[in-house]
Amino acid sequence: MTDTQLHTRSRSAFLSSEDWWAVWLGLFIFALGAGRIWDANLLGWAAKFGVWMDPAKAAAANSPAFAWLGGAGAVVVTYLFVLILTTIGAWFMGARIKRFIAGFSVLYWLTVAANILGNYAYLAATPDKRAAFHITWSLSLGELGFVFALVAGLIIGNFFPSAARFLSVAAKPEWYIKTGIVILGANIGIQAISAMSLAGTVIVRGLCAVVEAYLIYWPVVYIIARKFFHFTPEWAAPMASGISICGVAAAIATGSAIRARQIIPAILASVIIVFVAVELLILPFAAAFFLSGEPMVAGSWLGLVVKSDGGAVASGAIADSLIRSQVLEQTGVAYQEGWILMATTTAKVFIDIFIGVWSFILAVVWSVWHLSSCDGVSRPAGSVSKREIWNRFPKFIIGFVGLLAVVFFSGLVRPDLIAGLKAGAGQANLLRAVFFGLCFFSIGLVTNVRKLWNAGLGRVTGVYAVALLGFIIWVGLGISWLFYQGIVPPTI
Amino acid sequence: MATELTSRQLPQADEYYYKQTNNHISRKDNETEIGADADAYFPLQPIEKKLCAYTFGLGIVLLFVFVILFKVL
Repeated sequence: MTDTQLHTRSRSAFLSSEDWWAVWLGLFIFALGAGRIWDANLLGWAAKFGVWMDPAKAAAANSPAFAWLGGAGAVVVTYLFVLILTTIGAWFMGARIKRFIAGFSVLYWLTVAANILGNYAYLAATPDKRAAFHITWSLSLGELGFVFALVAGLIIGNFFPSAARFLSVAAKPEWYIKTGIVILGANIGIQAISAMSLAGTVIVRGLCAVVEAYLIYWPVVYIIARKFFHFTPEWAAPMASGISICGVAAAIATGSAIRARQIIPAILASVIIVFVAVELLILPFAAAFFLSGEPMVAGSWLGLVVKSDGGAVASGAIADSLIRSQVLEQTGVAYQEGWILMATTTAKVFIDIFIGVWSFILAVVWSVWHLSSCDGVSRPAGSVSKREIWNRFPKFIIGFVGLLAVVFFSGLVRPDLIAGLKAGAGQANLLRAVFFGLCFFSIGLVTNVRKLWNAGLGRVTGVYAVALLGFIIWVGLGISWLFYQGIVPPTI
Repeated sequence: MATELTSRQLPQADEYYYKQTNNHISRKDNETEIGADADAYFPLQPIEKKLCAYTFGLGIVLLFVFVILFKVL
């Protein structure tokens, strides 16, 4: 049992799980942003990072009322705010606080440095902004700061193991991305008000796409693992869920559901994590290159193919920026920000919901038929209570959907609130970007490629590579094409 | 009395990430576990085939339904 489990055992799940803390942080941050409805500028100090030629203009407070802070001051205040919030959460989750604070500080400042570097005008300026920076060319690679953060994390994680171990207390990719997703709910709610029909289409088709992906991916990966790579069901089921559905979280949930030994999802995690980092470095750029004409297909595809919440939503954010910039350059059409990311997030959220449902089904099947042994009797069976569905439900989705619904219906019922909600969601979105950046860095940090290379995991890696390259990428693309082809984001 | 299949306090994904970085599983452990699994291998049982066939079949049927809904109608 880990130190964390020992500390958190006595606390309610409301105060000890990363899911619930993502909800609390996300709601609190949006609540501060919502002060704009009543003209209270409670997040005006939050740092806004922009494209720059002059380093002094790389960051600034988002509200003129806090301009006196200057760029550096806004970044420091943002650091203190996020540090205090995450430290409170980490304390309740049982982390060693001094190490968390030290590790988080390093994570934050390296992420900020990566973000600023990625916003250098020659790298990030979109074609329509070049004139403003007096430059004649730029790579137009928006959100490159996220990639720099990932690479920085990978370098530390693979070449400086002692530093990686020190920082690992604060490297919590799932918590950071889930907090970001909860905040994202407010922004999607705002987008949905302005394009209700399109938002409905994205959500309904996202649900259908996820159901399809689940039903087709899982049995195929299971059969590959069992028949061709000769794994027992105890390994094959968590592997099928981890590889085909949603990475580490799905492998853990399935492992628990079929009562697999805890070491199995732990071993699978080392393979899954490495593949996520590789996917994150390649697939958003592939999506932007091959699917810029079908932006929503690209967003959904990343949601169905990249196998972790952090990896998928992070890839969606990169693809959103890359595709908008590319389409603007090639056709002059300016898509609204966030719709491609919305397609990715929708897929991921429904996938996370279905992890609970699918784990429940597997728990029933395994408890009735004892699939983990050929004689069907070696493991004692337990019965399944309804509480299992609730236990397995990813709670951060409550925050995401709740915030989306509150913002959407508030704007629908009281149109006079829309301006305030929009301003508040925009301010909260700045902190969402901070959490996304922290997630990228954390993913890099926990990804140990050399360890995988030397770890005797050839068969597990084989299943993952065969399933991903031979099947999941293409079926995911087909499903996304079927549901999203011809749908484009609104233009500005 | 019904017993739950798992504890209420489910492990969190970030705990697994932490373990990865802090080297809780050695190469020897990996090889032992995977080797033991290879020794315990048994062919697909009928119920597994049924589970996979029904799941996949449902996926294909729904695919046709969705194609009709979104592309034809």
